[in-house]
Amino acid sequence: MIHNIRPTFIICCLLTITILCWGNALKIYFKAIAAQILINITWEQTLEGNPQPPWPWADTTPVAKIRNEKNGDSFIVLSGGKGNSLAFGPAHIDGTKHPGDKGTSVIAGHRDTHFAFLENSEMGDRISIQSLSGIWSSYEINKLSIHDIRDHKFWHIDSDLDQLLLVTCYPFDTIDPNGPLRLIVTLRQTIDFDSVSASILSPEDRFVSSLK
Amino acid sequence: MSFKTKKIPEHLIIKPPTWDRPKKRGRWILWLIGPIVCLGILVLAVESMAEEIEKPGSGQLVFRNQSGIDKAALHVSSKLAIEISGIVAHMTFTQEFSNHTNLWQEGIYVFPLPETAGVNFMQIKIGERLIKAVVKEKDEARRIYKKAMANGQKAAMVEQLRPNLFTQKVSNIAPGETIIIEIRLIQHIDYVSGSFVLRFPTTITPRYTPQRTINRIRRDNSNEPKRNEAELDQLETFKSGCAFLNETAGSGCAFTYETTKVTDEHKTNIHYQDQLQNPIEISINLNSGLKLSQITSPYHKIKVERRDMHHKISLRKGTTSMDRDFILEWQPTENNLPQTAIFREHLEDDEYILLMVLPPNHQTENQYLPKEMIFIIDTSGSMGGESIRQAKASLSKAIQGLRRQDHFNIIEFNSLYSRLFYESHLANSHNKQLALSWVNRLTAGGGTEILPALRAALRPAQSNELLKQIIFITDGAVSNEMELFSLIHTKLNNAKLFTVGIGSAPNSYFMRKAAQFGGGTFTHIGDASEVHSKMNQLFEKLENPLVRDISITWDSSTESYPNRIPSLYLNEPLLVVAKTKNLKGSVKIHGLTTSKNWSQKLILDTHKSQPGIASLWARAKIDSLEDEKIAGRSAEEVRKEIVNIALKHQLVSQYTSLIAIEEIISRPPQLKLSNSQIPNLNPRGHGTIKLNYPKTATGGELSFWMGCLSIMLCFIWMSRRYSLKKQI
Repeated sequence: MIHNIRPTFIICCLLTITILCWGNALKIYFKAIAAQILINITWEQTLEGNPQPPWPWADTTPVAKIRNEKNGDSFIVLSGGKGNSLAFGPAHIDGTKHPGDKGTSVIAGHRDTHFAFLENSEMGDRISIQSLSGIWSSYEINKLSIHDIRDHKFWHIDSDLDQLLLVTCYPFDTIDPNGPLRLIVTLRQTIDFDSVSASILSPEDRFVSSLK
Repeated sequence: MSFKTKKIPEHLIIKPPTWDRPKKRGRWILWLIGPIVCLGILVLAVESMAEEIEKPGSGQLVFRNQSGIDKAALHVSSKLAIEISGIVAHMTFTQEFSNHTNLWQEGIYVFPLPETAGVNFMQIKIGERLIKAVVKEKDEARRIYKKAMANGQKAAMVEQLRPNLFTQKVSNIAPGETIIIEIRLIQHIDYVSGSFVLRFPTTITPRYTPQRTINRIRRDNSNEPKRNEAELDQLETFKSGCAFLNETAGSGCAFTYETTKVTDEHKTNIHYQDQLQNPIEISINLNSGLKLSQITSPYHKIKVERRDMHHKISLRKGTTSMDRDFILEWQPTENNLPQTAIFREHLEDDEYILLMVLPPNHQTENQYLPKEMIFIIDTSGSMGGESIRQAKASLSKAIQGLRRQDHFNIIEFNSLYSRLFYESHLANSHNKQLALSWVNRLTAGGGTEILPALRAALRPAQSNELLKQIIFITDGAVSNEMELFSLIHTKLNNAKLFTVGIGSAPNSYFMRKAAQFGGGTFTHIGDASEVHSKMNQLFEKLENPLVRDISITWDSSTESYPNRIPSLYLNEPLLVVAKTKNLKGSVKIHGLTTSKNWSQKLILDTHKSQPGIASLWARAKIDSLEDEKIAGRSAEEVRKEIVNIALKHQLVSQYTSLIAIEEIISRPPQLKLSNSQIPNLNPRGHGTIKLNYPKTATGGELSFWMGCLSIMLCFIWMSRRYSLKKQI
């Protein structure tokens, strides 16, 4: 009896699973791209002094624009570092300073969508941030570190430092969405002291390390 | 092979239509249900993933409680009563555990104590009943405690995690009940730059365990599943891109395992909360035997009542929150400071002596020897807030104090380290200016990987003519102290290491011991206003040691500690504890100063007896044995000796604990016992925010590959079906 139904039934199930899985994946990546297009429009409007939600039922608002100077890609940063805003763009973590302000600002992003570009980040790479006031400020990668959340349940940050922290999952080429490692990219605002800093740091001390 | 049976195809092919119709209907239902079930499973899977997204959430403070009940399950209030006579302090530290829940509770509390104190007494107070504790070997004490806890008896146990870090466990506290634990400890008073100092820590700066140490432990621990290996290797490769991290591998292994085992234990035990009501009440009876010019407490407001030579000191507000070290300093009036102080105790057949001698200050302005100064500054996350400002101010002050002939360099470290110059540079005004602006830009964040930085600092000096001095500015918030001491011990050569402890709750054990192994001194800076005076004091000490090669002529029956008397710097006293059979006569002290020899005769047997000196001697002996372990003596031998001495003198040590058990069974066996950890306060001025790590990967990739897998299975199935059909 069972021999009659099994093959067709199983094929049907497997096909359904395939469609659902691919659909889910497509939804995630489509959301990540489409939302950015919508939010980009809203961002322009916000800068013109006409803030509007990106879509009528949105529970998040744009707070900054981040641009990777290496390839010119830019993303709008959203408020709230919970799963829901992260689906649409990099998210500014509540409780930290706004990007561009004095103090530590933390932005999280998904490693396989908006923050995928961090995979190739190197010391000295530049990233620009446009704050709500429309002013662009330039940042430079000054440290790359990896934290293991199994060792440190909490992430302690000095809130007084003028820095920008970008956080994403690490490594970039695993499929496990709940991995324990995080890549923390520390950026400092670039001021005109580059000449001084270059002269006093010996080559050995500038740990120029890339992730790949 | 079962596929080759011809039954399946037969069923598929030979289908009498009359028999098939009702079956086919059932099949369609299955076809409908199948996808729905699949969908249901997928939805559930996604849901469970979503839950994991929410759990670590955003920047929320979470107080973990194993039983999952009310935050303030157990409440602790502490009382500290100190009796100081001369240079010996007897402290009674009382902790009141009140259970505000309606469950039976076990309370666990990790708390700091002064690093030189000997804990030699504990008792439980339940209403009118008193139960005295005894010292047992650690493992035995644990067994007894666990058994008593399971039986429903009240029990309390004090364990040592570090010489300045202890755990208190109290089991079977009834709902609404208050249990009082009284711990007594004894300590000698330090004499630092003209004043006597008593330091009592009240909270712990969160400790950092180096990544590499954790990795090694994981690898050593063969019982651990190997699932982490790949990730760990990835970490190692990432880190090996940075200089010298690899070089350090394979050193100090023997100690690491042991220390980190303890570490892991305390890592799970310390919890922090920012707003917490666990006040401490402090009262001190100071009987220094000297005329005092002033009594101060730099970080707390105190009230002093004077009665002749006695002083009663208490907090002006009665209580204070436990967020920083309590310090009391008293200064004798000038010309009233005796050059020697001797205390003794007769116990069983032995005489125990504590002696403090202040060498005469013969310092003469002799030729200045140019030095190579290496500054190490800790810029780890635990230094965040007020601490890094103090550290930077101290370092800037030190740079300004350099002389033209000196060479210097600065090493800054957190997870990685970097140097100002590749090699030490001359301290001319240009280099100093560069250094100052470099220091000004330093910020705190990241881990506390001291080892590579220290190793870089300890590399042999570029020229042997220069006297090398290392000044280490840190809060010492690490848990691999032993590994670091062992590095200092083996790699120091002729250099001298001075530690500067920064912050509201520095790890004093690390400061004192690192300086001891480094042949230097330690300084504490707990407030920005102290930077100037404390750094000046340190700079005075940085000149050559005042007295070197000190020896005391004891008779052969004497056992004195420290084994090797360290060189003394300006305003530092000689402090020795000894056990002897024969107290008649006198001893002679010899030493070399820069200008001439120093020798002094001390008459021992005229002094009055005072309790506690024997405990101090035993504590010093344990300390010295621990040092021997770092110097390479076998751990097992040291353990045996420490256990012997600790059991004889009833002291808590790394291998012995105090335990008290009540005979009566108080908890009815049918009632469950919950377990609560008492959080510690974050040290004051800690400008850090605590975040949960956000979840920063989508399930997209996983979904995609799951889809691929499923369609592959589908194809496999279909192709097999096709081939089966073909076979028929």
